Amino acid sequence: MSNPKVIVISSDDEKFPVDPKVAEKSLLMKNMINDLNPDGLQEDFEIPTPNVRANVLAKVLEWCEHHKNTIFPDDDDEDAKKSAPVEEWDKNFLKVDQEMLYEIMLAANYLNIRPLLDAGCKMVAEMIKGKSPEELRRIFNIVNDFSPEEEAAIRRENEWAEDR
Amino acid sequence: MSGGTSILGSHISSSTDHASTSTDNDSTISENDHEAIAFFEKAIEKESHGSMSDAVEYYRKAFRLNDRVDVLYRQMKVPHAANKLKQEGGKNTLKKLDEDVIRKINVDDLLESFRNEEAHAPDPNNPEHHDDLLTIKFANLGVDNEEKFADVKPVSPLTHLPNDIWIHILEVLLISSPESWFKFSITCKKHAYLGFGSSDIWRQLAYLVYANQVYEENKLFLDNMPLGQNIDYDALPIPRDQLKILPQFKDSWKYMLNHRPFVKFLGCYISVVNYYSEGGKAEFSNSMANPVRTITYYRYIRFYPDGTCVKVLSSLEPNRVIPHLSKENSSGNISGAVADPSSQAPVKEDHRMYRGTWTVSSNGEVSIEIKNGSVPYYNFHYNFQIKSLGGVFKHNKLAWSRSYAIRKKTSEDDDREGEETEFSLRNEKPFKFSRVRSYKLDN
Amino acid sequence: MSFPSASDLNATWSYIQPGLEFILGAQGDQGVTSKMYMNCYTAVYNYCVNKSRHGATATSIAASSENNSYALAGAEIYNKLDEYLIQFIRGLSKEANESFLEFYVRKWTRFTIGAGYMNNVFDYMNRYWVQKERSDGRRDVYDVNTLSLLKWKSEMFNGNADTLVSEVLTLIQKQRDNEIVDTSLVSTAIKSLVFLGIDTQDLKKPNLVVYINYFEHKFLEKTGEYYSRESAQYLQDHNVVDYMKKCESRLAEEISRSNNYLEEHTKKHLLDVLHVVLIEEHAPEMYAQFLTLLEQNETEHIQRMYKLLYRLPRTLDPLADTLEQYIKDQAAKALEKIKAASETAQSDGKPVKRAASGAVDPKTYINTLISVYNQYNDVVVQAFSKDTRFIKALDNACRHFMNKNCIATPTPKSSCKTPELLAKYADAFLRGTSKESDTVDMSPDNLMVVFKFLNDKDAFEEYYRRSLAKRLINGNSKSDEEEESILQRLQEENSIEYTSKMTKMFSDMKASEDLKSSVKEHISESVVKDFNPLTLAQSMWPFNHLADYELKVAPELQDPFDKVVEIYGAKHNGRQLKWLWNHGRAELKANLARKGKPPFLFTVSNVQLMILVAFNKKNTYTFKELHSVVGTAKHIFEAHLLPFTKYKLIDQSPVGAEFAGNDDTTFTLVDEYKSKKLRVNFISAIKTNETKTEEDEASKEIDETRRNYLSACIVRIMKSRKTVKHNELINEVLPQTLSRFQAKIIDIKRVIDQLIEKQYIQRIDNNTYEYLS
Repeated sequence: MSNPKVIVISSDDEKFPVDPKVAEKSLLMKNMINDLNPDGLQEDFEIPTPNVRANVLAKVLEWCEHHKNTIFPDDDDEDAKKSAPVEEWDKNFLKVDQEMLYEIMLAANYLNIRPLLDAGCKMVAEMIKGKSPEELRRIFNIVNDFSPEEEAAIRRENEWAEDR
Repeated sequence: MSGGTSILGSHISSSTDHASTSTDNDSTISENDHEAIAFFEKAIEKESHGSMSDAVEYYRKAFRLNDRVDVLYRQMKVPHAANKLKQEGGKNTLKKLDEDVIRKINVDDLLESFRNEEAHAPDPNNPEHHDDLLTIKFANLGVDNEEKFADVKPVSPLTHLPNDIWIHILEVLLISSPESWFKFSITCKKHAYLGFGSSDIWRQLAYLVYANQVYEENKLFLDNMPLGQNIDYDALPIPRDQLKILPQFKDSWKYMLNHRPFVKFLGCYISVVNYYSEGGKAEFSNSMANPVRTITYYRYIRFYPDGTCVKVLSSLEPNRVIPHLSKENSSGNISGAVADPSSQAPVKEDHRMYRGTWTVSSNGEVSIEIKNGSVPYYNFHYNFQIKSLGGVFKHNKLAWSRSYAIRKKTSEDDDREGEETEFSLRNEKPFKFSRVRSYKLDN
Repeated sequence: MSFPSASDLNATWSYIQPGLEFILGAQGDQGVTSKMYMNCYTAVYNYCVNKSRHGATATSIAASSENNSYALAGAEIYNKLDEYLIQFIRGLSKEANESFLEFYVRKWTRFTIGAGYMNNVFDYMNRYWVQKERSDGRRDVYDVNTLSLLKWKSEMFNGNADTLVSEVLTLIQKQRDNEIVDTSLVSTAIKSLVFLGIDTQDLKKPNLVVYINYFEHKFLEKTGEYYSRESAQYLQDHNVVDYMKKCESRLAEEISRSNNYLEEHTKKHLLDVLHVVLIEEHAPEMYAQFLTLLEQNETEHIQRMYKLLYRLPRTLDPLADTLEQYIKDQAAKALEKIKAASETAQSDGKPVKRAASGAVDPKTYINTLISVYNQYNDVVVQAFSKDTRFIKALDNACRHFMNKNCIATPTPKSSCKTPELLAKYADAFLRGTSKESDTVDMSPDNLMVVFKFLNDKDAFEEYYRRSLAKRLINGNSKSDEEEESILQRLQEENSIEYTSKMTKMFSDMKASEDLKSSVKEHISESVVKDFNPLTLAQSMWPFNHLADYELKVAPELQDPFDKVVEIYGAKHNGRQLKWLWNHGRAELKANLARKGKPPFLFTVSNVQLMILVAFNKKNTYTFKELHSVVGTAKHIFEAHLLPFTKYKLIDQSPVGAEFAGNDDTTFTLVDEYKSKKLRVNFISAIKTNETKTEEDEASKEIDETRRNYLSACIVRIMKSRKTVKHNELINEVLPQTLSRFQAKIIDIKRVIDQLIEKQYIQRIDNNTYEYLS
């Protein structure tokens, strides 16, 4: 049989046949394909993803398809990876509303797609950078639930650590 | 909130824009009073830099124009500044604090009690949230206080990301924008728990800080190693793997950061020295009984993780020196900062910047050596002890312990080579660290 | 089937446990489906993420008093898994008909596959919680795969290690006993020990501690016992050669076993054990067999023994010692044999004329040395692969027997005869007068072999130079090329100084050729038909000017002699020429034959020439008259005159040896010489004691050269060191002489005393010398 596919099934039972190469951007799927097919993929292989809805899965697989030939370096230098900027395509890909960004990051985490999760985290970090606490509360629509004394105590104990 | 103001004071941005220069457009006061307030603000700024003699001059000018300028200043400026602070910091800003309550708080326990806290969206029906609503109104809506908030929006979905992912985001911030890490973590209890209560953050910080230190002990070890031998990093007296050191600090990364001194790189250390010179009276003084003049100068040191450092001794104020204080400034001087023509302090220094090397010992003794200093036949040595400023600002102070020079070999048969000259520390003041946002580890 | 509430630990666990049963093979061979796999992963994920979002709110576990409470998020499910694994492994049971080893291997194989799956199913927990715990220094939290292995170790392996290992060792023994065994059982069980070696500090670091402690130690012990027993048994029923073959095949088997299913670490230790048990412990038997093999020239078996012992190089030293001693003994026997043979021949034949010590023919002697050398050199090359140990043994033996044997040193104190015999050997095949058939098995190669081992190389030089000198002046070298090539080889083997005198001799000969042709131009009109003068540098040649031979040149012969002096003197101003009348010879035509017969050709000495030329003037002289015409000391004159009277060319009156030296005895040349031969040599009949003198001279010369060499050596050392202790001086001098001779300490002391006398050095205290400039 030529070119067996991986058929990824969303929680709402939509089927996404993809190249194994695309599916294997998810370390979870890659491990499962190898574990359950120790002699290599012989025929189409179904993988249910009970935590991912079709609209999100489609988006995530779009990312995998785009990056199917990208080689992501191993986790050698975590710090350098965390400070590297998000590549332009990913940046545009992740220019979505907070709801969708949330769903994509959750799915990337669930399916273990590390580079996508990293990009998402950096996008959130970009949202936070340079903002005052009060601006941040507005962005995330949250209230300051500290008592004045609690806030002062926490500040005193931790704020120094931003100097290094 | 004294803590708050001093925090702001310690942060000097390289592009400091003092609000005082753009005067308030409140037209209820006279030109004269504007000018008096302007001098008064200038005096405060000078004072904050430690430049006492300049500060005194400006205070004099201000009071000469209006002898109640201080009251005027408090009426005109402080509420505005307070509002601004409050808009940035939130409802607790400038609240009267009960120091006794603060002292009794065990922050670790407090953070732990936030473990199961959720972030909450503002609720118009909860009077507790009115401060927040007020702020939001000021910032976003610009409508008055009476507006009804019928439409309550939920918190951002991103707030529901698993903590594992939030930790990841905070680590990204910690590396690229430490201020943002802090500002995010102080927004609410849940975020405080994530940002201050998890070992991951402190671990990350420990690796960022300690892996870049240049340890005296390791330098000695490496210097004594036979040439050509491969370096076994596990055998270093102070290992690179911080996990090996963790047990010495109660297995707590946070404890380690609190108790293990380190040199900071993302800013510079400044020492302000004022001394009195007997000489001609100050230009603006009309008192016959003031023959003593205050002279202010600054010492600057900036460290790099590669074991080098740069040092400047100048009468120029920080905001003129800091942008030029870099090992990449190949001109070797900081005169890119044009001398302020109105500065009353005589320029005693030629604004030269000197390069040196540094090490720190595991107990926080910093040693700097400058081989090509201001005196050609001297190797200058400066020794400091890292201390915390006021117990809150950890490792923010360098206290002098010794300053001396050793004579270099100046000719083939120089019998004075190695002579030590000790310098007095009587006039020296400790260095304080100032964060500079434009500084990176290697620029 | 819907997912359990993510906050309910027990519900979550109940949900995944059936999946784990499949994964770990508790449900027989039923496969794991992707749905099952994904459901388990998702349940674990949901649970962990819920923890991550909400902390420990909804759980019933009352462990929240612990401080580092964030850790609890993963800990609960981790602990569940830990417990489950314990129960699962404890629940595994053996089939009635299988051995423990079979059971262990069967279950291990399935379990490790399952552990790999499980590691991925619990990936989310591994990724965040385990990772975090280890980063914060907890060393008792592991990824799921490692946790599974550790549980296997504690629940399955630890209690059964002895049974397991002893069953493995039993199988290995059966295999050694040539039974067919399932080697996959052995290799899987052993591999499991490697996997179970986990360094809890650094999970990535390979760790053989379990393998070594539980298996390797016992394996090596059993191996030692097994082969100790087998080898002792085998040697009782078999000879050493068979034993060595057995060792070879056993070693090959064990190495392949080690390659197949042991860790590389074991190989060295295994070989160590085998080498001791199989080789070192039975080395004495092999040494004993070695002599027999040498006698029977069993090169193949010697080589086998060498290769076996070579595995444990220290066992080779006794073998090399044995070889050395054996060669010495064999050489001694061979030399005794030829000595005895020559003595028998001499006592059987003509009466012995010369001393018995010189009795053995040089050729027989040298060829015997060479044949011993060749025989054992072949052994060293073929059986011992030119191993330096054995080259050294051969060299030592050769150096010994070539310098010290019954022929060279008949008494312990006599100086070694080998240099002299070797020089004679060389002379024999270099001299043109030797018969071709006699020299066919003699060669410069043999010469060089023996030369290499000579202790007294200076003595050889002396003797060789003397015979070379004779070959040169008598013009009877077989081939100039061969002479020069030997000189070249001696120089290469030793040094340029070593051959410097001989080189000068060759150049003297060439220079003399030129002189001869210049002289020839001047003597065309003379009774002298041909004249071959040789000019020889005094100190290079082994010839002395003897006053006893000072003769008066007959006036009619004077001219060529004067010409030589004149021409040579013109070329080399200031050089002194002395005629060596005792060397050289003359050929003269004598018209003493009957009418119609050709004249005789006489070969005579210079003295004899003058005697015969005197008879051109008158036919009869008194002894006194003739002596005064010829010159020379009286005994020389008498000795050279005697052959003429003996061979009836000159009549003596009165007849009788007792009158031969009387002043008034008369000597008359016969009118007609009655000899059947046309060529008559009168030289060989001259009786002087010169042969003897020459030998004395040679050994005197050797002694003197040695003294000079030693004193030069000492002066050189003293000059650079200024003050030297006695022992240090001796120790520095000795090695410097080795290329020429073996200096005796007594000789060095004597030279030191001479130097002190001559004030080159002085004693500054009892055992220190100082150089005096």
